Amino acid sequence: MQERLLERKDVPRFVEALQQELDVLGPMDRGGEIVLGRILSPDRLDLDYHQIGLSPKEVFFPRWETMGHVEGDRLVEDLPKQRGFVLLGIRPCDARALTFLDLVFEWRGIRDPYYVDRRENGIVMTLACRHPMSTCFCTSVGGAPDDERGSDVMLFAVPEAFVVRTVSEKGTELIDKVAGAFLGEVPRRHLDARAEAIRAANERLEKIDLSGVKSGLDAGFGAGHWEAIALPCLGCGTCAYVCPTCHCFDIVDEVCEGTARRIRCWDTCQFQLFTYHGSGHQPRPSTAERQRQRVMHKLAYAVDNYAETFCVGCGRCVRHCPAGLDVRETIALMGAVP
Amino acid sequence: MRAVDRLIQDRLVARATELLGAGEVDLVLGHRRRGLPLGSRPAFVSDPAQAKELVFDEHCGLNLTVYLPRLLRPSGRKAAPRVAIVVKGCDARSLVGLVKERQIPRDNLIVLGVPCLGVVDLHRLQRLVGGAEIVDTMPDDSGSRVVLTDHLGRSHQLELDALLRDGCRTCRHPTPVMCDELLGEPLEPRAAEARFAALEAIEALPSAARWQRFRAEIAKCIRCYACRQACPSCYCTTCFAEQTSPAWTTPAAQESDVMLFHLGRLLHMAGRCTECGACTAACPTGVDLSPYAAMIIREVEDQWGKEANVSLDDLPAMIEFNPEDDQSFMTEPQA
Repeated sequence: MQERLLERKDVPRFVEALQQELDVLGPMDRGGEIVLGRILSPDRLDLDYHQIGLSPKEVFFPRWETMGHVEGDRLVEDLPKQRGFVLLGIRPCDARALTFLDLVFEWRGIRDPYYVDRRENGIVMTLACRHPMSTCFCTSVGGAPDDERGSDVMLFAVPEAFVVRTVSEKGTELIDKVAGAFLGEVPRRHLDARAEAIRAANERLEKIDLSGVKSGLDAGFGAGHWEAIALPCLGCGTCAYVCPTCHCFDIVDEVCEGTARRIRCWDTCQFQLFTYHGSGHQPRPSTAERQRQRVMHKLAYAVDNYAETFCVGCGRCVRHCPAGLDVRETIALMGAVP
Repeated sequence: MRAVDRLIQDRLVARATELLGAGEVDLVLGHRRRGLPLGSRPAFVSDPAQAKELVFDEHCGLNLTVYLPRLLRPSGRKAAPRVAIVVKGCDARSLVGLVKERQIPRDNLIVLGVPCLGVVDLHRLQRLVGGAEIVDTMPDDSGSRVVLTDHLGRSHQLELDALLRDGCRTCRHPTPVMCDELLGEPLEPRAAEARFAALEAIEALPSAARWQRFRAEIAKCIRCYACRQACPSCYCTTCFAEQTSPAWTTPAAQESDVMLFHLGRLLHMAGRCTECGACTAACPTGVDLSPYAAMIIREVEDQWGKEANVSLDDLPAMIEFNPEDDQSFMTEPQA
């Protein structure tokens, strides 16, 4: 672990140095929304943003991708072929979410090459948080504004500069290679400023009590709270699609003009079709059952399966739900179930 | 908060308390505050003591009629609840549509109409404050301004009119066309000259630019179906976009499939869309296809002279065959 200083004025130079080796993906403004995009010109990179609208999972687990195509009578795999890349400036909560997706996509020796190949090709440089949003609750789910899990390198904004901390071997190697020449020592005052910023961010973060939620969810499965919780739910896929840990997918074959390809795309338990049986039976007939499924998958079943709560407290579902459902309230309600 | 809205809100709370207390309805469907400083969310109030949670202001943009088909369906042996619903002008038109298309019964429903001065477009507000997080709103009874505080403590003073949804600025039916009780003074329609301004701006572009503009909007879409789910007129049990036999589109998000979904959905709204803006407001990524919806609205109004869902007594334009309709578009085959 090493820490060096990158002055603001040198950020374009830093980006260009990275671009010699790798593609750089980072937060940028597109028509008033912050999106993750390929940075071509360094001045498009925005390191003063709050939160990317969609999560970075789409870089490794895209909204849709071609898995393979038919040649003659064989299905030929189309594995991702890409240049190495850097994910520069994502939030620690999103990086931590990637470590959860890692548990899903490479599990007990079963390796999903579409996801894992991309992960191996990518280096994650996070930007620690100074101004958590009112909807952020990372510390309540075991995270932090400067949580290193999932980061190869972490940046901390200080006055007119960034402290660059290398976290993993991959990260150290890259920083030494491309930026060793113009990164400097970190003055004491910046270390103090950083410590204060982290302290302030921690204080600002809303604290939610999750201590009873796993047992409350298990005990409350049939207790009837879910109808009221899910009454406003419109049944769209917004919450799952903006969530950095939701990972359900569908696989479909598309036949077109004599060729065929196999496609993987996002799916969500919030859609009616998700568990609709061929027989016509629907085991999750209403938003109540479907909302229960989503919350339990993240806060109960993931704990059983992976010993992790699959929620990083990013708050996207709270901000984007068109019907105002608020998982923080659901947690409070179900946590109180004896 | 606009003074007019304050009066309406007070009347609404009083009436809801009365209706629930007297047992005239089982449920009042209105708006309440949400867990964020801006916006609102649906309120399903069954206890008269909770009626005071009901609000009405410039953030009550949801079209609550979307919940009615589900709510008013009897389930098992339980009879459907008797519901009182709060509707703005645009929502009332959706109600007309749902009744005409036999998706909800008219009885057992008390329609509380609220004349509406327009609601805030939260996407637009976000852009105007440069992406800052709004943490507080300061009370401003001028009725024409909002004062917002952001996460850095900075104050933003914005004209309310600049924040309204486009559709609200050219609204022709601010007073509900259908209601049992009107909770405020009727309002005049707003200036209609600019009604198709956004559409006309696109039509003025050269063809290649128009195509790129459409592509750029579609590129933002993640096909979460928030637009469809928020729309009261989209009530099909199986949406065409989810049919597998035939599979008109995959569930993925290839550009052509996303275009097919949106164009299909908008065309299915021909003669039915009430311009409520619920679709655009629900979208998590800021997709705005309202000019294209407007094109279809304009086409239907030009061809058949009918505005969608303002009257319970006429048939929707795309359902009715009237022998008097203009048939000049049919031409003789070339000899």
